[in-house]
Amino acid sequence: MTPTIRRILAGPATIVTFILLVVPFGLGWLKTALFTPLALPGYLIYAVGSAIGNAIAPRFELWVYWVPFIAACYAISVAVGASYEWVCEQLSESDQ
Amino acid sequence: MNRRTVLGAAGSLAVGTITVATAVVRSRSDDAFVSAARNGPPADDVVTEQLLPDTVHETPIYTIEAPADGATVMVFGGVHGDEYNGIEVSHEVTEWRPNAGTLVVVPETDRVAVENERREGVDGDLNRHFPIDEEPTTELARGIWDAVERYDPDVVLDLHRSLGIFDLHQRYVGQALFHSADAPAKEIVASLNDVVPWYMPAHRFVAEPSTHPSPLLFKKAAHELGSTAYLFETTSFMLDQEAKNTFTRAATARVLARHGMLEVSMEVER
Repeated sequence: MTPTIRRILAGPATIVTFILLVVPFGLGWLKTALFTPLALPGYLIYAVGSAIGNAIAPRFELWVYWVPFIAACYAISVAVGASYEWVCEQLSESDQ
Repeated sequence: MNRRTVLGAAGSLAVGTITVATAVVRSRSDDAFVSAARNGPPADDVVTEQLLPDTVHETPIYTIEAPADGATVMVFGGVHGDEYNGIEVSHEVTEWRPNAGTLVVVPETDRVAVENERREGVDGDLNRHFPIDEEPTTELARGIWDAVERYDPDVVLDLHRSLGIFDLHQRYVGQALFHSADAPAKEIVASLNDVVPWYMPAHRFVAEPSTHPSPLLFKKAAHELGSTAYLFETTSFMLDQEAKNTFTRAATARVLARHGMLEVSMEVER
């Protein structure tokens, strides 16, 4: 069965990836002591994103990059979700 | 995977994160340098005097004489009044007990700025009022410089906070130890980075030599008095007040240790 757009945009793999990228980093942002190795992917995305943003628009404060950060994390999650659905589809076809 | 599974995974993730974080916080609190600074021998003498008494700038200077001879180190907090890490940690430092030398601490250098919780005091940015080979340009700066000349410190450490990270964010200078040419800053920073979690790589400190003349207090001390001088900058980027204080405290203790005031060596911590 071909994965639907809805399943790619809001399927379990997409949601879990989004949570993994955003939640551990968000906890660390709220309280530094809550930063853990789990926050590293989100940390790197935010650090690189804020560096690019600061180079383009140095006047913005660095917290504003939460908006593009969330968008970037969702885009990555959708890519992971789509890949997951594609792999599942290939596996189910090979079973038939 | 249904909704219950997703929620369960998110809950497990949160519990796991908090468990790991608790262990991380515990390991960070065990800093041999800070411990040595807090638990040294009773001071021979502790003196408090007022800088610029009976003026709007009046602020205490604490002098702690350790039992043994050693370097004179001056620590400044509150040169910028909204950089609370420097203010809070230098207030703590007035309770420290070094093994050797004389520790001079000014926790609220620009008292008006500190009271107003603003970067600048009545005459603007205090850390632009110390031109090299000229008289300081304001009453407060002259008062501070008179005190610096009187103590003639071997080491000056000025505690600050930036909003971003040096070399990552163009305008900002956080997570850096700026220093005079003679300072063993690389060694201090290498030890300080033991306090930075490995999974926060952008927050690792860098040592940056700062030899270009500009009207900053630590540069004037280096150029005119030959002091070994440091300007420490942590960052607000991703760090809460507790973390900023932890880094500032750790940096201060390491500077004291490296200049012979504490009975702990850089090798002990590694």
